[in-house]
Amino acid sequence: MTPEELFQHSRRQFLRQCGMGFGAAALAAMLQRDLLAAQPKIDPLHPLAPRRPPLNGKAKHVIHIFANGGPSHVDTFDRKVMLDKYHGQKLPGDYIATERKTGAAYRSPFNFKRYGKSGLEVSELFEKTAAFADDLCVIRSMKADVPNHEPSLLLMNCGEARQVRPSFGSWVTYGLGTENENLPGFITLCPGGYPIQETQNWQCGFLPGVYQGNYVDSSKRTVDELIENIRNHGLSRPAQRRQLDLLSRLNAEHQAARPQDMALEARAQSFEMAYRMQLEATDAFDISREPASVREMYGDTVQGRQFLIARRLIERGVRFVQLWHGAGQPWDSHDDLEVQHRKLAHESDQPTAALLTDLKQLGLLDETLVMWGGEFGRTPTVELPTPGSNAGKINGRDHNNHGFTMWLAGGGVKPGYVHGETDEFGFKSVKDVVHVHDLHATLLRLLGFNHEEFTFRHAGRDYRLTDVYGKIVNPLIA
Amino acid sequence: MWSRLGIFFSFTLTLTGLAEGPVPTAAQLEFFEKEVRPVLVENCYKCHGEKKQKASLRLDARDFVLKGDEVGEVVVPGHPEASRLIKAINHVKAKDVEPMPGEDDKLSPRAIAAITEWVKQGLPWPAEAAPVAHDPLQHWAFQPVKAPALPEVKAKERVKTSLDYFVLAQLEHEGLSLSPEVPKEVLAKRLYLTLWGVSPTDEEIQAFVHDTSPQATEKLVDQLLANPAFGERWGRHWLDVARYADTKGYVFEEERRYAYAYTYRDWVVAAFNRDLPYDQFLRLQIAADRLVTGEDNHDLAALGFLTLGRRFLNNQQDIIDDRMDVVMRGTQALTMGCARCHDHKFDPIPTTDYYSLYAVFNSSEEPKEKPLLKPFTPTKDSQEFDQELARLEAKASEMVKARYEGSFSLEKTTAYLTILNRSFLEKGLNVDLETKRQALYPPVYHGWEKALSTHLKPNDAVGAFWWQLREVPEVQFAVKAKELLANPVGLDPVLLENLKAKPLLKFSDVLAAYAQTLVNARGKSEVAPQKIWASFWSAEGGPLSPKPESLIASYSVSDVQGYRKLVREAEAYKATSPKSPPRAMVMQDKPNPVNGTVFLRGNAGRPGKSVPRQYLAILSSTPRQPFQHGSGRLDLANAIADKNNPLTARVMVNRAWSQVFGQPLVETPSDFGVRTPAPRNPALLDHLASDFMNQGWSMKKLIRTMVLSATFRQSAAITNVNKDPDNSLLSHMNRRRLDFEAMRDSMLRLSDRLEFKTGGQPFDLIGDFTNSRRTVYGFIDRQNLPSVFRTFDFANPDYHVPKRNQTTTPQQALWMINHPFVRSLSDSLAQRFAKLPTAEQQVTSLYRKLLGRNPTAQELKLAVDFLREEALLPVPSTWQNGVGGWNAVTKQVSFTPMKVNLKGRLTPTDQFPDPFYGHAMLTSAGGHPGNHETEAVIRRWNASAAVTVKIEGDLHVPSKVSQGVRARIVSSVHGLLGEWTVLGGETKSVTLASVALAPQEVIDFILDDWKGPNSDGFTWSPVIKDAKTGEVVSSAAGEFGQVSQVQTPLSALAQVLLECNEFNFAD
Repeated sequence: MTPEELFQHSRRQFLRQCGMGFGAAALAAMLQRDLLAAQPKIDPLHPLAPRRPPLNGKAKHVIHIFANGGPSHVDTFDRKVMLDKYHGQKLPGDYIATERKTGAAYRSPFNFKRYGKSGLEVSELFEKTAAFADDLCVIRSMKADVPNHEPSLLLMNCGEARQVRPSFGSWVTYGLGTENENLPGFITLCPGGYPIQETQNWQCGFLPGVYQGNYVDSSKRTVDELIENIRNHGLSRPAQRRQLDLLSRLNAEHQAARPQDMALEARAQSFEMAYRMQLEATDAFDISREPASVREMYGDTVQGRQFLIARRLIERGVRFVQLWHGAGQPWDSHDDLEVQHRKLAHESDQPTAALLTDLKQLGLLDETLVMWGGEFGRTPTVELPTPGSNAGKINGRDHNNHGFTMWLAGGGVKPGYVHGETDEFGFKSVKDVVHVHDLHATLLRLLGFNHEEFTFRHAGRDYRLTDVYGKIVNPLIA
Repeated sequence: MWSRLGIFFSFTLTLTGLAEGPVPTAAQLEFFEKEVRPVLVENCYKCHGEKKQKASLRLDARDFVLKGDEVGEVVVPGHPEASRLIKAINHVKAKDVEPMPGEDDKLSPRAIAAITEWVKQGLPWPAEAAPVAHDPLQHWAFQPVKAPALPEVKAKERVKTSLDYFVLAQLEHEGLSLSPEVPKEVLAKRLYLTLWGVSPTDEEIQAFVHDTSPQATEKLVDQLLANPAFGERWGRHWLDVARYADTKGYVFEEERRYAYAYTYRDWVVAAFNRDLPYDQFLRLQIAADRLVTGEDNHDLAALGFLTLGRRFLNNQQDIIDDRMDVVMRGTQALTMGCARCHDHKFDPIPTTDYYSLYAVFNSSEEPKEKPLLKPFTPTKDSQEFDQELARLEAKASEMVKARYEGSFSLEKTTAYLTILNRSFLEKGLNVDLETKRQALYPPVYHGWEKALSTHLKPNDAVGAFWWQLREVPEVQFAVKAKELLANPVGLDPVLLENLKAKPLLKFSDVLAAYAQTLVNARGKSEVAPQKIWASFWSAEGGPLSPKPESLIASYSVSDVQGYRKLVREAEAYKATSPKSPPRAMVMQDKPNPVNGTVFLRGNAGRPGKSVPRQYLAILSSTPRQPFQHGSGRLDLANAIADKNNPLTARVMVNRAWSQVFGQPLVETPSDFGVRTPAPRNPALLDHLASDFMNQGWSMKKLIRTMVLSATFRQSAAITNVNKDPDNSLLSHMNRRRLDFEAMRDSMLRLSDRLEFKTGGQPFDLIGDFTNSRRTVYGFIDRQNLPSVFRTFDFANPDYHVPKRNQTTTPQQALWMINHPFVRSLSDSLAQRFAKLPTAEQQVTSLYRKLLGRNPTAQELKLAVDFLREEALLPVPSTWQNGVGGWNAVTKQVSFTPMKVNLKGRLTPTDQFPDPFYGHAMLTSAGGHPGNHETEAVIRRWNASAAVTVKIEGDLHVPSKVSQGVRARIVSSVHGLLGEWTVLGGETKSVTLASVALAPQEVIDFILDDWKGPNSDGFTWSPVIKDAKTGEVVSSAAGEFGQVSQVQTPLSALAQVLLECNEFNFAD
């Protein structure tokens, strides 16, 4: 390690260890207890205690950047010259049905360029992210089941389109616990309200409630508004400390008369953790503590701030952070695609690049799996007007589950690599098709789990994130 | 007679019934062993062997091969060309053939040839022991319930109720015995929490302790069982099973709240209180519609058990699956879900049984109009409700009528005729799409098409004119039209008149005349001159024939949204109006029940064989009788509530045991399938189950037996870690932590804030946590369950929940130390006891009130010391919001607090704008000043402790019209600290790098209109940080609107007692 690396390493260690609710000995014991178990063994008294996965996995954390609404792949990461050629004409071949009726081919209004050694083609929309071409692992052959938001959001998040199943983040937190028990293990940031399907996107399903994503409205600025119950408005800190000292004393007396009951001990301990959490969470969400240069790099915008918070959370050992673009379905450009996509990409390109820069600088990218994408992509054909929906405009694209793009970075994925292809117009994935279940299987492998063995017994059956599907896509793994 | 003999399952195959092949020759066997078996082993058994049987196909014995898969047979011995297996390995594309072993893993030509030859030879297979199929009938849970004899025990004197014999016998076998009996104080808390779900008050504990009669415990138990609070506690346990919630989950634009879910909740609570026999309790929840007769129909509410699950975007298959799950796991502890796609891997539940029950629910429906619960006497409220609801519903139906009527205007009729005409001229025109594109309705279009098409021919009095002109080019049109008009042979005179009314320059003029003729004739009588035109309207299948409601499906997106909004408003009114009379969420049989069809792999697009509506084979007598009554729900209910059903009583006894003793006898209360081991004490379970049935399925008697037992009354001290490490022998009682409801209800109760009031619409628990009603009556939103429910391990309302999780997390503690609920209770307790003259008396009173005992001498000293020291520590800073201003001459700030808080906006008075204060107001983000410097808006911060701070914040005035605003920061000690002016459209940073504050120093953040109040809306919310550490000391936005109230030491002490383990656990 270089001195910088060592510094970064110890800074991180420090940030996390501050967060540990127990002494070092207790931590070591905990780690040993659950070492390498095929099924995570959950101690209900410490359900978030860190656990090691059964297999080697490079990824320790996940940041899922959810471009909700469905970003257009042919306007971002999957250039199709044939669309220029066929612009305004009917595509050859059979009509492919999506949610609404679409018409002729619609060429991308954006310019593409090649980036990096890998020569990855990216449109001007993501030119800053494209600077990381040689770190990205782009999957151009994604596939989901239906062209509707609700089922596709649930499929992408929970591996099942309709029924109530735990989200990916809940599975990961259940499997790995978290490295900082003074913060929730799974945090989902969405400015201004909920996306479509709301809290179901980060539901814990049949897993215990502690593995549910903790929703934070990242349009808010102060920690009181960001996290429930984080501050006490009636007692100053010294007064609250004194109060908890008394509580601790009473609990200790009570417990002394009731030996060997770990539940009493654990509950008494949880108050100490809560006391520390007040500071820890305040600290984690307060981006004003970052140097001005770092804040500028992300930009003082809603997206910039939430991306920076995500980095601060990961740095402190939070297991899974989901970053939604906004309430509803912002990327759903049924019309005015050029204007809408330009605005949305403008909002997220700089923070995305800043996040990648920052994670790299801090040495966190290797162990942090960054994932970008929507619940599906968009049609290469233009959407036809429907009364009452797109006001007669013919300048947008419909939903497209048949083929779309996602990219991964860090966490053990193959860098500077493009996987799979859509057809020459970008309608359907045709080569090395990656279904959402396959993506989940691969992500779990990167985190150290065999998706077929990582199960939870519920209603008389062993459930998994990938249900009865999913194949690991080995080429995506470095 | 309940007979299990002869029950036959496809997969418990005895392997005798199928065709025996000819005895194979030695050469055939050698060929099989060398060429065939290795192919099968290597390529097939992973999915079609002993462990897995994908598509219900197993290939590791000849008879299994012959049995085939879920579709049917896979081989025809001797005929490879007719065998689906051979097609599959050749990857032939055909119906019901899947390429095997997989698209990318085709067998080698040699292997394919070998298998083909083997089929041709008639599947020679060596005689070998058939694989042994496990016989699920031997599983303990499927054995009839028999009352076991009471075992002999040594410690007879310990026995209180019959169950103690069984517990003691096992303990004594291990050389153990029951732990000592607890003191009455401890027993009281245990009984109240178990039976009512709340802690007892000091007075209640004392009354029990001082009742020295030998029957004191029995008396208390009977008294607790007789109180409605019992049903509220035990009803809630059942609501976990019933996945109760007040909402439907995600349903897009539909109203999410169930208006009448609460009637089911109240029915359950009442059922426990009136000790409704459990068998009848179940029957009613499954088939009350067939059982309720007579005037009083309150039991109809029981059907909420089936109907109030998640709605899965109204996907019918998922809704039925959820209903089957709640019934079968809830009452039978059998998991049906797996059998939706394939035969259950372990349990004797084939897909055919799944679809037999599926058909039962598929033959039932929910009526649109929910029945009123009767007897019901209309009141003034209910009449008002009816009127208002009728008004709201009329709005929706008026819209539907208006859309219907509007589609027959002259303009619309012309548009329909235009499309009709285009359909003749443009080949392949998608008329439906075209109709919709023009915001017209396809059903009306097709009406016109039907009515008019036959007339559009050369010599028709009605259609000839249209027919002859429709293809005439526009340049020749006027001339040609004139010609025709001049010689209108045989043309309908009414039409002719309209055609002559306006010059005919292009074809659309003709269509307009036709439309005019039609519109004029609408509703004219049979004898009028327009008779023929009137008849087009009334023609069968004509334009008027679609029902107004049937057009909704063709509405434009905005109309659909508008319509749904109106419907939602009516639904919301039903759900929220306190005047809404109670109704039952019933289900009823469809007039024509349907039989079941197996969906292969759970896919409705792949129907398999047909099955009758009948109960599970494993739980049916032989021969199995298809259900007789309607949908079959009544038969299903009777099969479940049957005394001979081996599961029903056992399952409920186990649930009750789990609630009373803190751990179930059978570890998985909703899975008694073949993989579930027998309970540690099977005789105990059977004793209780048979007793339960013999006592008329009385829940109260069952629970009474449990709580009066010596087992229940023993100490919770952990004693025998070695011999009984997980306490499965019950060598001591389990110490219990208060669950979410018990915690909230107990806190309220011991603070004298709990009101025992049964039933009714749910209250908003989250909006008003200190509401005096019990938690069971709180509103439960299944879609976005508020985090406090999850934090405290509340039952997830998405699923039937057999056992709640019990986790310990810092979020729970965070809630305890910072949530306003605990604070509010602490304050009210402190307020009451602050009047006592000495600290000792105050502390003692709090102890008695919350813990039901006196403090020890040491505790008393600790508490008194705490009260003294806490008073000396700094208090937190506080924010106040007001109007006023800084006087440059006097250097003083005038400050009048803002009093009115309306949806997050604070104003000086309840008028806005106010005649005196103008638009003065504050929000968490910013606000607007009043009209003068003296009506500035002010955020006032009281620093409390001495600290050096920095002040940060951005002041922004969005409107460019504004002449700007002025900000001042003024200290009560140091005077004016800074002044900033910001013009309209500008943003400025308002910061002070370092301010050393004295204790209690007040900082005012004053914003005035500067040069005029026009468009002076601004955003500015200061953040105060510790100058050294950067830690946020206080933030105006974060603490906005919080009535900052310093907690008194006595309140802080009360909070400690509410938080402590002693309060939150029951020994």
